[in-house]
Amino acid sequence: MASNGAVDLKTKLDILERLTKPVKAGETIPTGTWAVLDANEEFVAVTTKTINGMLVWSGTEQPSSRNTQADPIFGDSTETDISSGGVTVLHGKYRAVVDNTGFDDGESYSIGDGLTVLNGVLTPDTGSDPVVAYVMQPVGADNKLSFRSA
Amino acid sequence: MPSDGTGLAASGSTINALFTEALNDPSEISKLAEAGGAFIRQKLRELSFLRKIIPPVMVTKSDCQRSTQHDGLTKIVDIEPDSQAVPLTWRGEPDMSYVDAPRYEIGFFTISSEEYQKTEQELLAYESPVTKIIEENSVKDIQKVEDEKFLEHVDAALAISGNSAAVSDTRVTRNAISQLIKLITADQLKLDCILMTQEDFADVLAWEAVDVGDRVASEITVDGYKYNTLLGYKLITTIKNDIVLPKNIYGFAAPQFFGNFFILNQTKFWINKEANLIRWRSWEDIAVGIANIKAAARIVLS
Repeated sequence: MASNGAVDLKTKLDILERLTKPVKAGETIPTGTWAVLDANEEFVAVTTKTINGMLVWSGTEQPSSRNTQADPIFGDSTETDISSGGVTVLHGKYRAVVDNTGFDDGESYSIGDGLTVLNGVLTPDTGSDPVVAYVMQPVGADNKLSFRSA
Repeated sequence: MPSDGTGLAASGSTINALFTEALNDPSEISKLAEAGGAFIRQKLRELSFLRKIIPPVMVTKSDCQRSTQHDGLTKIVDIEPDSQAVPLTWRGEPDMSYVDAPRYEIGFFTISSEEYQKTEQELLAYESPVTKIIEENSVKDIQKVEDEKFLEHVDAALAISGNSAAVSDTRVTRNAISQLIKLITADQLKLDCILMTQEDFADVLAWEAVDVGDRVASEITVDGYKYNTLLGYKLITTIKNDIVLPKNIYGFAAPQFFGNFFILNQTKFWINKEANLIRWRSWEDIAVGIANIKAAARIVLS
């Protein structure tokens, strides 16, 4: 489960759009990762590089995101996820710092590098990838990445 | 019906003019917000079918649980521990049983209207009252999502419990309702209320004397079906046939055997005016959970 400090937003919230949509059943999209809308207008984690990925500001670890309908008395059968509040992503121009929930810490980053999203996390652009953000500060001893949206 | 305070109905355009005038005075904004909030709560009580099935319980932060894992609040509800009795000889003793009662956790989430905006000049050009717009656009939307999320929980519970059956009847009949009753009573529960669309309820109006007897058949012909119960069970009908699908008749046990519906604080109404632009929205924070999945059942008509 993502910790609450996964995203440190450096831009005023009131100039950003906080887009909230339902989360697809079974999806795990922690705060600080990147999500995209599917054809049913439900959020799913980004699995392939896309320009449509958006930073998750309130993810599925939040109790306002979804409820799990189970059988609390007898524990019969499998549990079902029900999107309640859904997932909230940020849309607009912003700066943020994410911990390694939101970026691939096996890669190296330099100031100004383009960033793309793969498997829900930021990773360096290889030259022809859809760029969603740029590096503002390289990863330091705190293992956090500072970036601005593209 | 909007009123000008004298007991007479005010026109929509008069309401709009008073509304924009009041917004120029900051002290009046909070009064308008309070009035709007009161209005919304009244309509929610009247119109949400969830609130008739599980009456909401108002909770505050002190009733809820925090977590080290997230920034939200949840409500943890205890479930009755199971118990049993055994017959014994005069020399016997019962088995030991260590009490272990389950509990379940429900997360709160927000249902909000969209944030509406309008310039005061254009608002004055409307003949319909702004309170009507709030009613149409905010109250209805909030209550609809409330019901929609509740029924998503119910359908998920039915998928687990299997308490859903197709019946051969093509219309709502006494036989179909009895099938619904049996689904609930098979799990040693008692049906408390029946939920169906207005569309399906129209079938009840077609019941004939052979179904309901001469007296009720005559009443239906003259006044319609005017009782709050059907076959002795509380009857709830809804026009929201995009949530409760036609031919789907739901039955629920009493709330204490079923689940929980919590409202965190009151429904909030916010309104603001910057220069000539008026903005307003309303929202509520709720939690819905079904603890006893066998307390819900559904029949599907052919």
